[in-house]
Amino acid sequence: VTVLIRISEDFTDAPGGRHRADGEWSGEEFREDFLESHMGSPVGEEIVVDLDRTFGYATSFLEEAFGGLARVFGSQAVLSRLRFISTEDPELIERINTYISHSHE
Amino acid sequence: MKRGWAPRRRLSGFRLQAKYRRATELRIKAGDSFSIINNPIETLETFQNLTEAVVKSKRPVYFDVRDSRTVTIDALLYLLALTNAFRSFGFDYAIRGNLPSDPEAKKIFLESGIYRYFESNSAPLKSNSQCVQVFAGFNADPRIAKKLCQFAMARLGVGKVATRGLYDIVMEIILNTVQHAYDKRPDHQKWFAYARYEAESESIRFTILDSGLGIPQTVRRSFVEHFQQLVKLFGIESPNLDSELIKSALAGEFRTKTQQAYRGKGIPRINSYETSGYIKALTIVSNQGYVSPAGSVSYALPYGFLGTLYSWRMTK
Repeated sequence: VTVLIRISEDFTDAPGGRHRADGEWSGEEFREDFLESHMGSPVGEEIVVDLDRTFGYATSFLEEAFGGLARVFGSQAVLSRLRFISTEDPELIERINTYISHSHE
Repeated sequence: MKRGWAPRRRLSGFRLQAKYRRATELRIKAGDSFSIINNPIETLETFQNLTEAVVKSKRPVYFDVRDSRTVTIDALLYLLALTNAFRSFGFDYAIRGNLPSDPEAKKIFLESGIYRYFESNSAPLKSNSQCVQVFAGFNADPRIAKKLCQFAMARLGVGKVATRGLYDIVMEIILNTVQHAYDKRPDHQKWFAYARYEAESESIRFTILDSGLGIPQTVRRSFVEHFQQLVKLFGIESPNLDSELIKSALAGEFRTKTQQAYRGKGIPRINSYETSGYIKALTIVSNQGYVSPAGSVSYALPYGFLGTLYSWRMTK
């Protein structure tokens, strides 16, 4: 089973900062409202995150959304369940994987 | 058009005391180049004089920029931020001023919208030029970053993908202001952002500043511990401490005040955009530090900057 989350359509085309307290559309909000519910579902469900068509991402947003997810569920679990799509900026996927792998440092 | 300006907040009964005002008014004259990024020492000395007049001597000020032949927006935004800080700290002030006689300098002053904002009691901070965008805010509003990207797309003729890095830069700077710059004064969190398209170089100059604690102040504790260790080990001394702190923050060598290593990635990321050539002429002024990574220029300022100023240029 695959779940597809298209950030620009399902969340916003203008992602915000790290925490909800920073303002709208934060990484914390995306993690809690979109990612964590799917991570809590039965093992084997692949979560595909489409990163394209937004105006961009603050580093803090990416770290909190995906590095933060790894701090909750563990880096290996997140890396094995999440897959990313970014035809506009493929380097973004490498950065996110680094945030997940180094989430506790 | 009136020939002078004055910020909206005045001393109580100021209008009724014009005779007294003229007698006690302190004239502060800006230099030939009224620019923090290009002429930081003289310009910050001017602001130091302004601050002393308001805070210490509590005298009305006439801010004279008539003979300033070049003006950059950072100085005007700082004037705005300073008066905002005076107000937030509860200082009553009275500042009047004039406009530069140089046409180009005057144009920058007028098209910024700051003149109108100062002069009026009700005007919003809004540019009156298609080449300029100016914003002020209290939180990390992604809509501002989006608007600046749309402005860059329109003026530089580039697509959305080309401005994704700009979005990252703007958001990180604003986030730093909201999260760190004001520390125990969260009710006074205010930043100013400005973008101006310059046709002759086909580029956009971006300026964002706040009047908060400053980068050196927010990373000082961990650095001082580290620095004291170095001094002890090697017997060295640095007269350029704030610049070293800014450079270290750019290099990602320090943890933020949260002491969490996964934090503090934003400023190094901004630096990486400069290193890769995505942006040019990045300059950061904060407290007594001046750092321009592209030219490897950094030095200590004799007069402090209240907060942090980021300035950079972006071309197609």
